[in-house]
Amino acid sequence: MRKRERARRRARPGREGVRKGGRERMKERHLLLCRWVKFHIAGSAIYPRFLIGQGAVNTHCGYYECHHSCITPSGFRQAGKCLKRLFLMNEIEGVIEPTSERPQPPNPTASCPIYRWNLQNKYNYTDVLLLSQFIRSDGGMLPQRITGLCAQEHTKIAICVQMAHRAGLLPDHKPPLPVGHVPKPKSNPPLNRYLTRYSVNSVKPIYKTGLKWCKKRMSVGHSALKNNVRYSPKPLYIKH
Amino acid sequence: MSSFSRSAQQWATFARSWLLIDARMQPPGKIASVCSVRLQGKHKPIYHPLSDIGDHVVVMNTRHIAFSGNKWEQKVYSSHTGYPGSFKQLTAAQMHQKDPTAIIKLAVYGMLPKNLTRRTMMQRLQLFPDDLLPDDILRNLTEELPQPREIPRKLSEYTQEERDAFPMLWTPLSRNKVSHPEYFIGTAHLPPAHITSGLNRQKLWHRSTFSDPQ
Repeated sequence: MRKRERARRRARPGREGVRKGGRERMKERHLLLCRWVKFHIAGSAIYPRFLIGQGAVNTHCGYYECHHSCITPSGFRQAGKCLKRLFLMNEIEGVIEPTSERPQPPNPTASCPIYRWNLQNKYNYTDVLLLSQFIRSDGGMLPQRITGLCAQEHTKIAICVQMAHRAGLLPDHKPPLPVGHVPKPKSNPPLNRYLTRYSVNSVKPIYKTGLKWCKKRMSVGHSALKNNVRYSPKPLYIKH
Repeated sequence: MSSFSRSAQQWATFARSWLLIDARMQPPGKIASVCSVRLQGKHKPIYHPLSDIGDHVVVMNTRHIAFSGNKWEQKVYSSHTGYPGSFKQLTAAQMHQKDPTAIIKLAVYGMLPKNLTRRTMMQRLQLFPDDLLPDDILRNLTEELPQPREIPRKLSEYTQEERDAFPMLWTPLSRNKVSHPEYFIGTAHLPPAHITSGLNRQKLWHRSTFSDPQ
């Protein structure tokens, strides 16, 4: 299956019309590797760490710079393969580093990270620092089997991430535009919004709202977050 | 203030002040309720519906208001002049594009008491789509009212120190299933090979390496 895919990809030219050479691909793979390793360095002391600093690295690929950025979608597997190849060819030294001081979770025995840190029912679409830990660089969610979230919290986080995107709180996590694409100048600036449950283009206007006892309400926020902790005596209104 | 003279006390009690409110990233309904309270004079202890003691309210940046939910697409403003065929229905987005001050104006109009004083109170409400205010109004302003909604910070507005101070909730390697672990991590932390058999060594490796749930 993979051989067929690879053959198909080789036969088809790339989106830009220019096929990447082997050296460029290796460069990209090394960049992905370095990002992964930089992330991995912050783990515990049980694994030996491969010290690849933020400066240049002397490997058989040449000198490259490491950039500290988010995990790319296909980065893990390629990074792992590159690391394995470099280790077998004795290009990387394994060094055991002592643990850096990290805050410990108050409930370490739980399986879901939200329950480990006792954050259930306590986060919202505005907690961007929390939400950004579970998203890719182009704004999509990371899979559950990678992050370790339980099903309910994964859906809640996905809903909050959606609302944060629509509120414009994650401006750097947009999908990359194709190379050479010039965006059209927009006639109307985008409208400010928050707590948007539905996609902007999918919603229809309510031309007939109805009488008070059978009014068609406009929904705000999401019912999945209805159990969130509230410090004011007023209840949470989802139907406005 | 009791230290004022009689005339100064009279003036301070019954003066009509000019208040400013910034509507950037605020829900128009909350802005309108604050405006209507001040326009009627209900924030003063000497309030009476007939005594006309409301203040002037100036709202700026009405172009940058933020509706919660999908109200930009769902909320519909309807009007009928009485003539046949003149029933117009506009969504909030279309209304806002036509006139950026209309949404707040209609909201305040609906929140004021439905009597003849409403029109005079609406005359005392000044709406500006951007933060460019005329000089004579700027000279009159005395107080700025606090914004009803707390504006959430974007991810780009957090400093690197704040981002580093936030703990990492999960690390990738604790969940990844690695096919050939020896190539990556090595076996230096396990007892030497002649002591443990092959199978035990694998089990030991798994237990010792993946013990950290973080």
